[in-house]
Amino acid sequence: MRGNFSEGDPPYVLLRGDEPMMSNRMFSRLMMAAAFALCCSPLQAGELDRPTPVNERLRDSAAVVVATARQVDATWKPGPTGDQIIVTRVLLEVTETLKGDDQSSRWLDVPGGTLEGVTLKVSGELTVREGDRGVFFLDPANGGIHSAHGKAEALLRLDQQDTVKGTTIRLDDIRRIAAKSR
Amino acid sequence: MKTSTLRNRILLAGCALAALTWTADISGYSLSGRTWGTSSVLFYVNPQNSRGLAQTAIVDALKRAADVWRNQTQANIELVYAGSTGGSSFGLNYKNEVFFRNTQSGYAGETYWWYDYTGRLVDFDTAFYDGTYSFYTSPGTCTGNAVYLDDLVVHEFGHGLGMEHSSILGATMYPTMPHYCDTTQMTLDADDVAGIERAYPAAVVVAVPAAPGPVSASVSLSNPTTSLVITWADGSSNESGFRVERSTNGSTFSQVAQLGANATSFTNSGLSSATTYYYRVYAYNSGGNSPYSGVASSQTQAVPPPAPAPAPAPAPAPAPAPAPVVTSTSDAQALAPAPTVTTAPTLAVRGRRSSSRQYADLTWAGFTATRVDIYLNGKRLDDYRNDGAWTHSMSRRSGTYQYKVCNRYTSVCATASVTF
Repeated sequence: MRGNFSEGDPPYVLLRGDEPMMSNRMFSRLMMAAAFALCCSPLQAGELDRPTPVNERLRDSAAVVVATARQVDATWKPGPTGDQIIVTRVLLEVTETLKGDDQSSRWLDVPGGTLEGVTLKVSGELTVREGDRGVFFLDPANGGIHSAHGKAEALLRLDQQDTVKGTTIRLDDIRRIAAKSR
Repeated sequence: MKTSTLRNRILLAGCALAALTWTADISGYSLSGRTWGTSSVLFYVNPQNSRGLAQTAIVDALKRAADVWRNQTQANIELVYAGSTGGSSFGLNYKNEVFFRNTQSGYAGETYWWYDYTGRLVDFDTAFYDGTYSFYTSPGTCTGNAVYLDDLVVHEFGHGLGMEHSSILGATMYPTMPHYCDTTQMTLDADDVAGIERAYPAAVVVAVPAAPGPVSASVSLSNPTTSLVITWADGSSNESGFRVERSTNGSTFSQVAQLGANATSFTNSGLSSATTYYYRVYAYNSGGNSPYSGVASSQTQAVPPPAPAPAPAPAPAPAPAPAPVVTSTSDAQALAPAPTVTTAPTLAVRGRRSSSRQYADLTWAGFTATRVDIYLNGKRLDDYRNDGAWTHSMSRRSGTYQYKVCNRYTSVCATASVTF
C-alpha cells in the first residue's frame, strides 16, 4: 500500500513504504480494539473459539489465498459417523497466494448448501456464493480438496477497493501481516 | 518515531485488525429467514456421553434450555422434549436429534438445520463434542475448564429454531461464550428476544366479542305475511359483525344473514306466511365467535282469505269467478292446494386459524343439486358433492373472503363471508 493518505484515512496513516504509523486518534481506537482482542475476547468455551486474530489464522492455515469463487456446486456427502449431509464444493480462482504453494485454482468443500429442494445450514459455517471474492484461509487439502479453516472465519470478503467488507481493514494490511508471519 | 515504537504499534495494529473484523458489525441478531411451520417443535435426545454425565441430568438440562426460549419470550414457538433416540448422526430424517460426539472439535456444539423448498424448517440435529470439552449440568459445580451444558444448549436450540449468530457481544446467540463455567447464557439478551419474536411473532390474541343482548322477533309492519324483523342489543364493542341464524323447529339453525359491526336489526323477508320462525344471533371477529344470544321466535301472519266474489248478475249466463292473481311466492303458496315449501339456500362460513394456516369452514343447506359449485371472491374454486360442508385450507393471510355456493350449473346461490 503506497501513496498519499489523508489524516482521516482509517485505520492507518501511511507515511512511507511499508511502515505504517497511526494518528493518535486512530492509535487510541486500535489500542482499545487490541485490548479487546488480547484481553477481553471470549475464551474457548463456545461453539466457536474466540474470534481468531488474523495472524493466528495465517499461522494455522495450510494455505491463504486471495481468490474468487468461480464455481459452486452442492453434492451429498456421507460422513464416517453415519452423517449424510450436503456439501458445497467451490472452485476458487486464485489471484494471489499469501501462504502455501502458488496454484491458480483450488477446491474448497464447505458443509451446507442446497440440493434437490432441500437446504442444509450449519451453525457458524461459511457460506460461499459464486462471485464471492476475498481472502480465504484453508485447511490442508484432502484428495486435492481443502476445507475452510475456522468455519466462517475462513473468508474475509473484499470489496472493489480491496477493503474487508464491514471494516476499514485493507488487503494490504493482511498482506503485511502475512509477510511478517512467514 | 523510534523503530521499536513503530514495531509495537504494528503488532498492536495486527491484533486490532482481528478485533475490528469482529466488532465492526453490530447489527445484532441474524435470522436464517427460515422458520418452523408449527408452533411446537419436538426434539429427541441421545444422552450417551463419554463424560459420565447422568442421562437424566442431560435430559433435564435440555428441557431447561428449551424452556428458556418459551418462557423468556413472547415468540409463538416452543421446543418440546419428545423422548430418547439412538440417533447420533447429522442427516435429513425429519427427526430433531440431540447427541454427544466423542470426537475432537474446535467447537463445543454444532447444529445442522434443514429447510425445504418452501422455506420451512424440517429438521435439525445438534451435537456436543465431549471428546474435546467437559460439560456439567448443575450451576456451582463447575471445576476447571468446563461448559455449562444448559448454556450451550440454549444457543444451539436457537439455531434449531432458525437463528443465526448475533453480533451483539453478550447475546446468547453470539458465536462464543464469555468463559468457561459461564452460566449467563440461560438469560436471553434483548437482542435474542427481538430475533426470535421477529421470526415467530406472538400470536395476536383478539378477545372474542360478548354475546349480543336479548333478541326479539316481530312481524314486519310492511310485509306481515312474509317478513319478520329481528332486533338485538349490541353487547360488544370489538365485533367485526353479526350473524343471524334461523330455524323452523327451534333446534336446527342455519345462517341467513351476515351483518356489519354495530348492526342491531335484520329484516328477514321472503318467508312463508303463517309460519313460526326461530332466530338467534352471535357476534364474531378474528378471535372467534361470541356465544349465541337467546332464541326469539315469531310467526308470520296468515294471508287473509280472498274477498268474496261479487254476487252474480241476474244475467242468464253467469260469468266465471276471476282467477286469483298470484302476486308473490307466499301468495302462491297460500293459494296453492298443496303448497310446496322451498327454503332458500343458505350458506355459513366460519374461520379458524393454526400457527401457519387458516381455514374457512363452509356449511350450507337448501341446495337441491347433487353437486354444488364453490366460489371465492367470484372465482370458482371447486365443485363438490352437495353434502353441506366444505373446508377451504389456505396460508394465513388477513382479509375478507367472500364465498358463494351454487347449485351446479345454476344461479341458485347463497353467499357468506369471513374475515381473518
